[in-house]
Amino acid sequence: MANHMSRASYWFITPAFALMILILIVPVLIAGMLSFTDYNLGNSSFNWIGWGNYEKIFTRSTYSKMFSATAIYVFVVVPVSIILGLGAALLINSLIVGKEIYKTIFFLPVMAALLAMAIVWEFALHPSIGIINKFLESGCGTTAEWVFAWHWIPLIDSADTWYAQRCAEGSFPLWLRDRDYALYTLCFIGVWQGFGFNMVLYLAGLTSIPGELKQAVEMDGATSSWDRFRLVTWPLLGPTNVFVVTITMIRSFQVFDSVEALTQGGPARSTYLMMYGIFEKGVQQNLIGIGASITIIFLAFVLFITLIQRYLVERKVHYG
Amino acid sequence: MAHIALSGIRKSFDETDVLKGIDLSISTGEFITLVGPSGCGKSTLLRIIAGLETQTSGDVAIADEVVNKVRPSHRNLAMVFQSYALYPHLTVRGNIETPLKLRDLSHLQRLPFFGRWMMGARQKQQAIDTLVNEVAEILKIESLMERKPGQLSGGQRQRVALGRAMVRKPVAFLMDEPLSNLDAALRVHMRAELAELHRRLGITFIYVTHDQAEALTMSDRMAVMMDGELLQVGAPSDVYKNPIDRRVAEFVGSPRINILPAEKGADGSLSVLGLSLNQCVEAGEAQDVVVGFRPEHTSIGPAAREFKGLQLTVTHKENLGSEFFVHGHLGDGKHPYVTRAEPSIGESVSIGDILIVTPDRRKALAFGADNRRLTLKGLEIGEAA
Repeated sequence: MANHMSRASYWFITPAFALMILILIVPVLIAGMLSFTDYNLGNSSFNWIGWGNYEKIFTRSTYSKMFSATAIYVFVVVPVSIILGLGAALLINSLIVGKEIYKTIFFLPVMAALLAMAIVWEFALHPSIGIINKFLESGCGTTAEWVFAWHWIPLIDSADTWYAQRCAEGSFPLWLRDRDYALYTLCFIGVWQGFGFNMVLYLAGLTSIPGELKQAVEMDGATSSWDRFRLVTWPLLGPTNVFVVTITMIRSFQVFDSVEALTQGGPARSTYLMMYGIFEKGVQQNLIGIGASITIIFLAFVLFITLIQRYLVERKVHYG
Repeated sequence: MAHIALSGIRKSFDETDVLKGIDLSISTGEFITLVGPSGCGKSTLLRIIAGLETQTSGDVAIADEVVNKVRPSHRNLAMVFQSYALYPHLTVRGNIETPLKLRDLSHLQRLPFFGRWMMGARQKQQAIDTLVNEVAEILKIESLMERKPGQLSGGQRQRVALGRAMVRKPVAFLMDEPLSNLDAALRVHMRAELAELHRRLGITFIYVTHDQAEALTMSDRMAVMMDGELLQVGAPSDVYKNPIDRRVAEFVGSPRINILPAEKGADGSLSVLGLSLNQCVEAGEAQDVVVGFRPEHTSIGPAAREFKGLQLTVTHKENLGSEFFVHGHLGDGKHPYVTRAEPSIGESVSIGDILIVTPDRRKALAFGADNRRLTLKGLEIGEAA
């Protein structure tokens, strides 16, 4: 009888197991295998070239640019969108009326299709007809210049500031077409698009903080909101934090649509991010071998982050 | 040390009046219990004293100073919450020293890492350590100091919560059903321990509970609340023996008091189910009268002389070891009745038996239809007192 039971249990997991093998493990293994070949789509055969693809990736300057651009993107977007998300969540949580309307406003970019939004951004960021440069130009010579050229802060030479110089030269950045600005402009769009998601996660985390704990800290003599934040809010948001950091990192590693729609990796490969690299090599140029090896490196990064979350941080934030 | 006075406290949420004008004076060092069924407003009242909730009208005064506008952290009260509300990320020591750190250390001294090197931080930290260790000793939690709340049992968490409240030597302890999350045996044990702690500290305790047994066993005075009103305030024995309201009589005491309708003669003399009480109410009393007998004021077996007792059909009996409670209904089957029995009698009773029970007529409590207690006067006939 016991024997029958145990065999039945295998049958029950078979469909799930088979599907996981088929749509998850097998493709990863195939990609892993292809990453050691020079296979091009359409070719009838391929050669095993060992670590050749990986060697290319870690030696050629195109790919080192790809890694540094991806790193910059991740290290700008992750902290900024997390801090903004937390700040927005704390502010919205403290509101008495109008919570819903602010939640909706900040969450809109998350729901909107980024490809469609990219077109809007493209127009807004257009160097000559874009609303952003028009707006910046209109501020020159007014109070806006006085404020944003930091004229009001002592010990700063306001003529030397970014805004004052741009005004003096009458030239505002090309944004997406300038290699000094393009990556950070994409970062800005990434933050704009992503922080609403973090905000919603933090709002959920905030509602789970027990009210008695907030009252306990008040009874214990905390008068400043910083003490309340330090003693209750931040520690109890621990699990949320871990999740938000992980998901934001993975999401920003995966950024693709804004690159494809706005810069195509340019100018001068300054926005050549990993996901776009995979797309360009593997899909556009049919260089499956090299595409597969970037994919494997990408997978390793994401796996690494997930493992850190799972084994190092998660235990510390549940205070078991 | 100071006494706390509440005058005319009202609280309404939207249309509902939760508190309907509470006046209460709590003297220094007293153990007072606010007791009542759930939803009677006792927790709201406690939170108004704490300042966590604002009253719609009325004044809270601590040491003759009205504190309506003073925020909770400045009222120098300490609170023990039902869920204990410990900081989960801090050790037991960290939890207990938090109130002291918040009060005694400056913002700079409280900075992580750098704080300890600020001017005077070391001496203050030493003073804090001494106080924390004292409290740990009183509560016998020295061995738990480096653990996190998640690693403690309910009873241990309870102690830590008490420690956090005690360490600052507040004007008063406010406790919101602190024992309700503990198992029954531990609850009884903690009752004794809390009473002992109160004697030792001599600080005012304001204790909220729905459990009348906690109120009876621990407090100097108990305040019975119902539907947002304070029905009776007094020493537990007084409230038990002399409830001034039918609802108080029914709430305090377990099993609850037996309430029976009384027939009233023209002269105000009362009888219950045909049994004369030999007592009467004021002749002018127009309303219907009910009479209450506590289970322990009833004896099983016919009384002496011509007093014939009441017929009780037994439906259930409870064995508490030292005593029995026999449940049943009286003659006509409409009126449930509980009586206490000595084990020797209780053991011989079986379900379905018909017993004769005799309530002690001198202990009868009469209430009017408006729930008010009515004074009874002996008729001095038949049975000589």
